[in-house]
Amino acid sequence: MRVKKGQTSMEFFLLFGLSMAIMAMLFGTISQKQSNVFERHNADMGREVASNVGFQTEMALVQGKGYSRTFFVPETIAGDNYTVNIDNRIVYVGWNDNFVTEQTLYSGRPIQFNTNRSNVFRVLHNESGVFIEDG
Amino acid sequence: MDKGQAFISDFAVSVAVFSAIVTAFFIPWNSIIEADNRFSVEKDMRTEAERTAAFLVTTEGYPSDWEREGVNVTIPGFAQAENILSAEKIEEFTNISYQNQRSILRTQQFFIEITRNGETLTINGEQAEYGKNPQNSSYTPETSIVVTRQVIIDQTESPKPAEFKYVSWRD
Repeated sequence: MRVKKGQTSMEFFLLFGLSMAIMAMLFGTISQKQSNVFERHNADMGREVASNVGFQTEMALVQGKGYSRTFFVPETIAGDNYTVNIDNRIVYVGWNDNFVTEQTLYSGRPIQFNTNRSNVFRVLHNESGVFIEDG
Repeated sequence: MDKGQAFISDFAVSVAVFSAIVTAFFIPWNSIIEADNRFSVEKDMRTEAERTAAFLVTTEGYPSDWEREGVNVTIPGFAQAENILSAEKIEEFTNISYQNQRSILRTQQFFIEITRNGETLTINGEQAEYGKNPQNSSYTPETSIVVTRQVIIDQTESPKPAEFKYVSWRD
């Protein structure tokens, strides 16, 4: 077979291009998986916060008037401050454009707070119901 | 051999080696992620089970007189004082359907057993076993979390020290 000038170079570029395509697919898959793992960890953290806050309010409700306890939650989720809402037996934790919800047995007045100023809070039960305020 | 042929076969070999390395990397990586997932589920279940057990043995529940007729329980608790369980509340709990018990305990499946020296206690004439025992051969639990607490059962005649076992499980 007669080899034309430049044939090796063409093959080289073809194979190099193919390798790059494989590498790009590989890195794409890896970064997608990695991003899923991070998202899942953030959602887990959100659920943990929701579960903890649900537990604190349920305990305050059950223990009755005069109950007061300080608790803390993580400062940020995925590097952002977040908001916690408890309403209609659902604890909602929202950060950035994401949120998670957890069920709670707490059925009192709606509660809302965020971690913009502090991550230490006090849950208390007084004459007016259960409240969460900055600790 | 034509020019370029060696190059192609070299390339094929290198692709094969590369694929083997990538596969060898991906398989353990995937299994680490899956194990992490499983661990995360177990961790959540353990936290929930410990909180539920804490509610059951340290609080009266809400409302506090939920064992009375006509009062609906929102949050179950068997205690009349911390770690002293009311036989009346336990008895009332048995009158709630398993479906509702699961709902107020917020668990997929559960089993509660109260024992003394390894023997199941009798409370108000009945064996103190509630829910579904995951050790029963008809169930195939995938994950089960056991939480035990030392308690006293307040029965009118004689308060008895006992072990309260709460099992949260999923199939």
